[in-house]
Amino acid sequence: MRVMVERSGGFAGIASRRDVDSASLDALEAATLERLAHDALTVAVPQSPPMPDAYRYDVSIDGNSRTMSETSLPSEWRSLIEWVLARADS
Amino acid sequence: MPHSHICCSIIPPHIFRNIAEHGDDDERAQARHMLEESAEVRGERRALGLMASAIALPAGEKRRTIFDAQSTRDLPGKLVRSEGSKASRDAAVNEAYDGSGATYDFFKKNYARNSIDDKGLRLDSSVHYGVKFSNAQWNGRQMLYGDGDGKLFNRFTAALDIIGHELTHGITQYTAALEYHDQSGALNEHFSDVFGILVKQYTRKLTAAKSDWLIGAGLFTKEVHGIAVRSMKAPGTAYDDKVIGKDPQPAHMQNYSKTTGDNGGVHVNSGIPNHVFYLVATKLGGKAWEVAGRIWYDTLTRRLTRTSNFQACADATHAAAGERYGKNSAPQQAVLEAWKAVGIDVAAPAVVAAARLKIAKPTFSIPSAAAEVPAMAIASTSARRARR
Repeated sequence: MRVMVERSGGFAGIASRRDVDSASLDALEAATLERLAHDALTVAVPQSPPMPDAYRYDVSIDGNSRTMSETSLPSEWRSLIEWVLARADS
Repeated sequence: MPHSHICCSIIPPHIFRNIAEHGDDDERAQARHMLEESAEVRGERRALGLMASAIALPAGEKRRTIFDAQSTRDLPGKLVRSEGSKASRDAAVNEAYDGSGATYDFFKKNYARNSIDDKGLRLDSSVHYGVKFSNAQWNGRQMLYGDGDGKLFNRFTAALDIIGHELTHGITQYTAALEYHDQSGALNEHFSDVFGILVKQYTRKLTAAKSDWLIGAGLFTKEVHGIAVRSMKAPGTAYDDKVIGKDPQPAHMQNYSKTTGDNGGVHVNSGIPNHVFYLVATKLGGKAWEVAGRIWYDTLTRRLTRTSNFQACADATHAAAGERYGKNSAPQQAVLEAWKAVGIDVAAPAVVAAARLKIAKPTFSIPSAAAEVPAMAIASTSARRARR
């Protein structure tokens, strides 16, 4: 499983991007990534107009892409995004 | 009554209404928030609007309320300072209080604007939002400020222009309501940077020549190779760092960024109009908030609409300068030349006149349009709450 997260916007407008592939993770981390991604995909991403200086996230799970805003981020997606952004690229 | 009683007990709304009308400042603030919260949950947006006006203090008063989110994402958090109460030991609380006060005074004294909505809306700010949250935001009804991660970013209340920037997003919401994507979004960012830097210049008594024209100076830690987040004087030169990369702002239309991230590069392409404002202000000299700022204020509040683009803004600032300072006056000439310098020609006067006729209608309907905006903002907030 390959998950890419790009965070853009925010007051500073400085983008941050991580690309994590479960094939290059150890078994425990790979299982965590797959569980977080699975949980996220069960929750619909609400569409709301972007708010000033809120982060925008572009998330791709095995090529399946979603765009979402910090102001309407379901907790399942937040968990996945935070986990991926906290990692180094693999 | 202590706040904890208000916030944690199951008290019917009419009690809150009483407190909101008759309690002391802190109690009223807390009660009003409880009313707003419960009205949101029940979807009583109309009731909320009526309530808000019933509870409002007399117009013309500066009303600030600072909350501590205590490292959570729960808003507004604990009430820690309200209008007229003594300073806190917490620097972030005092910076949010003083900064929102400076911003209120700036708009009141220079443009006779009474707060964000021009009706004395209370200025609410929450500090210590989230954990190591490296951002500041206007969320449609209040400001929120993170502490920064400490590695790259300091706390977001540290720079006065950031506070002015966030509050101006509120003013834009109640006026031009520029949609937050692509060129209209870059203009939304632009106006926040313009009035953010003007609040700082006005408060510190800096002329256009003396200003650093930097947005977010002091926000980066010493680890970052950069002087600020953006430069209006020289877009694209604010930082160049191994971790966060290089400042991507263009200063000319030929370098306009066609990215999809950042809602179409709203924080990137704002460099173009930002540089226009810098050129106008430094060409005219003196206090930038007096003439250049006045032209931009007239433009934001009376001449732009949700979908206005850079060309519309160029034409509108040119027309606004002509209306206030005269045809072919020095300010109008400076506006014309500044847009030309970034690659945008102001449309011929006949075309501009026609465009002005076209936007005349929305200008007159601003009161009702403004009334819709908070409801929209609240709708998104209540949708978020409902999912918790």
